[in-house]
Amino acid sequence: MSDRYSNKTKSRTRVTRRRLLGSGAAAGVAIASNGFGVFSPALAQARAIRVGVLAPLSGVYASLGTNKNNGIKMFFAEKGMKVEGKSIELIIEDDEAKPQEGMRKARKLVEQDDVDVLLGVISSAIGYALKEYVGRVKKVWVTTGAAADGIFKKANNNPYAFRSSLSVWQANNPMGSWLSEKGYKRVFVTGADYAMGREAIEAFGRDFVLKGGTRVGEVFAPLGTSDFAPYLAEIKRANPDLVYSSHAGSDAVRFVQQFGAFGLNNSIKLAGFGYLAEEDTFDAQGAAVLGVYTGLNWAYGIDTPSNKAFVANYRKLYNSSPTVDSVAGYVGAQVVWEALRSLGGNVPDQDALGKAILTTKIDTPRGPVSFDPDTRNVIQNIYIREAVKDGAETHNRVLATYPSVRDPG
Amino acid sequence: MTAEVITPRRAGSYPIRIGIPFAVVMLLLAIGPLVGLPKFLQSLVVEILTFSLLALSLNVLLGYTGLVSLGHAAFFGVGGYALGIIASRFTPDIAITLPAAIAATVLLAIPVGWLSIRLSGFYFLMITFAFAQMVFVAAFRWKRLTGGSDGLIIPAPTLFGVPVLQGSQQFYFFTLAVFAICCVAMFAVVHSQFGRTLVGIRENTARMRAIGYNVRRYKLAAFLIGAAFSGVAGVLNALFNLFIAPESAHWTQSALVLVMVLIGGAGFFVGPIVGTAIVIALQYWLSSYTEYWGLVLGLLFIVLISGAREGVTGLLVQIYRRSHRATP
Amino acid sequence: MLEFLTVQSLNGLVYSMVLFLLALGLSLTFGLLRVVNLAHGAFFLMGAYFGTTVWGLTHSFWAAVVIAPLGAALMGGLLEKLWLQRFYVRDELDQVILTFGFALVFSDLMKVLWGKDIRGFPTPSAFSGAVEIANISFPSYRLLLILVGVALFVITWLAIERTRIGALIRASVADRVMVSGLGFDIRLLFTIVFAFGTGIAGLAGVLGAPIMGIYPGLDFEVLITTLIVVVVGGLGSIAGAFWASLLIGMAETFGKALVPEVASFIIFALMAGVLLIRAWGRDEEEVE
Repeated sequence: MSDRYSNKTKSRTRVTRRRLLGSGAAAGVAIASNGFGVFSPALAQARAIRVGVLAPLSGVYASLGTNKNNGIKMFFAEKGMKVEGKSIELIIEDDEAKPQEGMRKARKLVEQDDVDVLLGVISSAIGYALKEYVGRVKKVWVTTGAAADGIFKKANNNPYAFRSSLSVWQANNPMGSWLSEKGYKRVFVTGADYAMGREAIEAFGRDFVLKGGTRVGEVFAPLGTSDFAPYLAEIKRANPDLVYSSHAGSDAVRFVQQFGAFGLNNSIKLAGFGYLAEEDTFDAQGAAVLGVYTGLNWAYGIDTPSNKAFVANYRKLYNSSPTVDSVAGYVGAQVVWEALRSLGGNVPDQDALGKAILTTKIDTPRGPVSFDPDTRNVIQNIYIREAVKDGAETHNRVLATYPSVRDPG
Repeated sequence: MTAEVITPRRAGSYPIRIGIPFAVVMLLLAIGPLVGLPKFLQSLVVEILTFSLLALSLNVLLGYTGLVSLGHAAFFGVGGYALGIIASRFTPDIAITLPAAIAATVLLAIPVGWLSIRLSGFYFLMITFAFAQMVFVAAFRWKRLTGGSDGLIIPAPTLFGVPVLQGSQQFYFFTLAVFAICCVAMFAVVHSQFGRTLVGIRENTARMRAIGYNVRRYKLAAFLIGAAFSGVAGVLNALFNLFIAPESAHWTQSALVLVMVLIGGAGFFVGPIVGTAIVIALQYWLSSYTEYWGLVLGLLFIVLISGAREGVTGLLVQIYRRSHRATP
Repeated sequence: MLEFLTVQSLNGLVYSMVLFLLALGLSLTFGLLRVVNLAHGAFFLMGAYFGTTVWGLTHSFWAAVVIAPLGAALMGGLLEKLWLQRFYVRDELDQVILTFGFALVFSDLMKVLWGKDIRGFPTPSAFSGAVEIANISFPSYRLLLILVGVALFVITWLAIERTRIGALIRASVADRVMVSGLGFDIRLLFTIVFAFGTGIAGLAGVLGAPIMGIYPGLDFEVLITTLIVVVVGGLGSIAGAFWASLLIGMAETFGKALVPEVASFIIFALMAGVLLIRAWGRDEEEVE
């Protein structure tokens, strides 16, 4: 690969295409649009702080994993791959979104590469397994995905595991009250038939029903359903005024597209978990997605200087819109970096690092971020968004903000 | 894809020729941790041994009986899940969980095998695939029992109330011992009169039936043996990760094991072990450099199937024989 | 009740025809060449990606529908000519492994060329609306798919039963040696049929893209479904593939609507059931 810069003062570790080692001021420049960059001109220097990144780069979540890594690399590049003058080395491994392979790579990062902190993971199944593992080996891990509610509960609180992304509950619960306040009364709920798909519906449904709405039907489709027509016919028959969906990824593309093709969007409002209508699904969803309401911890259109700068820089660097996953990677990196800075950039003691992250309060493109000591889940803003045309592109604009949402655990 | 035809003359020398190197490798692996084999390599060895066991168990069907299954991981998954469910609901005592999990695997394999062996060739592949996918869907959807798509966290094992297999070192030796025992057992099976009958069935089913063998009973026996050892591998893997997820039973896992056997060479007893080591090592190191390691695997397949039909092991044997002929 | 039956039957019919488009090429290839082409799903996805590229350049759906299948057919023809042809003398498993190897390679190459994001293109404007049938409004694009499926079935069936090249294909299925002994270039025939089969897969990819989206991994998802349809229909039978598509399409559609809890089991249980019924009471060698 052309970006494998030779390393004259061969350091202890081999430099691969997944290893990013920063020490020069030019770090930011080196991260080209494809996001690689490796160099280390410095003479014998102290051991760099090693950040191990786990992300699915192949397999079903490959697209999400790539976006997430883009965010992580961008943040560290902005800081010149340094914290308090000390070099940061990124070691990136592909977890394939499979627990077996993911755990193998986690062991590699901890046992072979001796990383100082773990960052990443998208699959919730890996999340559950990894949380047990980092508890056993006492290694700090900040997840930028793994949204299943059960991973970060009061009952299994673990001083080494943090979630900087979100819990499913956080994104969906505010949607229940907001949509109810908007005057919707009869909801049909639908999602993919797996843990996250159902958790999202539950988190939404509780408050929607508490505030006087009724559930007129529900259906869960197998993950990876290609034809939603039979379900859409059932939805139509139930005659709701609102459909709330927790579909994500390719399911979200097909569901929204087919929802529009059958003309359901003429009489029924479509709303759902943020992944139903996100920057990476818009292109394939076409016009059918316009007007869809979703809840998530970020929106392209958040009108703050830090988000605007983030979006502009990201587009310049990668030539595409950031997605919620890119932001999750960026914020996860920011959390780790801030904690390392508060420790003076020294190779951290794991307990001290855990404490530092717990007290971190930062401003991010998503708004203020801090951690709940009871669960070590993030406390953050949740945005109610609407997909709208923005010139030739489609983006989410913010309709409402729920500040400092905290998962009850 | 033909297993080495075992002639009476070679049957005597073969176990010795393979037995000595096997014992040497086992011994080397056993002293590895004592002379400073790094921890992460120990983990890798554990994984390779576990999956080798799975691949060997598949080869009882594939290499010896001529049945290509695309559902073998179902038993791997069921073994792991049975252990996980018993451990988290009743007791993590391995005196109970181990035998119970293997029994559960065989119990499932009886009806599945009884039905599947009625078919052969590509149809056998498809029906084992269908059954395995049903197992996967059950694991994926039956959240209350299996944890569903999130997987199941397994409590650490005990033996008569005392925590065991806690350190990675302990587990390393445990895996090595289980692997060695299972290897010897499977080797004995395929080199027995029974194993020779299986090879006979693979070579000419009609003839074996004509001379009075109950072919279906033999096939079912091979299926159950394969499933049982697959269950052992599943149990080992579940204990190693202390976690199990539906992916363990997915068809891609079955396909990966098939790939391991075919790359190593289905015609050799050690073929599956060689194949497993190659695939896991490839996946482990190559994926640090590129996410397109599937491409490399695909190319390896194309090259092997076009050039070396008997897998890497066949290639090595050929090279060995040629060099020995050159220096008499 | 009547409305339920009508709507879901239409839905089932659409899904069946999508399945048939997928199964037709594979079944045809197997019938003549005796090769289970595990790269079939890759040609489906390849067709869809070619479609996005053509659509991106021309913004014409119809250009994509014409050009993309040709691209897939060309790739298929090349694969057969350059590689597969040498494998006809080898056993079934070798061919399966070879095509699986190519499936893996194509899958990653497509990721390199077209990226990992979900893509898609819209339905053509002439078919973006809905049609009223018996008080039910139904997307016209889906009706188009039913027509294409049925038309392809009739055309292929007639071509094989009534034309000279069809007779040649039937004769080759029955006795390869004899046909080549008569002086026909059977190798060219094989290449053409394989290219046609992969071209149909590519066509299914373009036509399916506005409904299913396009993303890495879709190739294997599609492959699984297709294999099941073809196996249920009986390997190599085009009429069998047609009826199997209808059976599975209808069963899945009504299953999803009536008993969604078991929807994900239906297709596997159906295949296992059909295979076992067919095998029951026979010796296994006969069920080849």
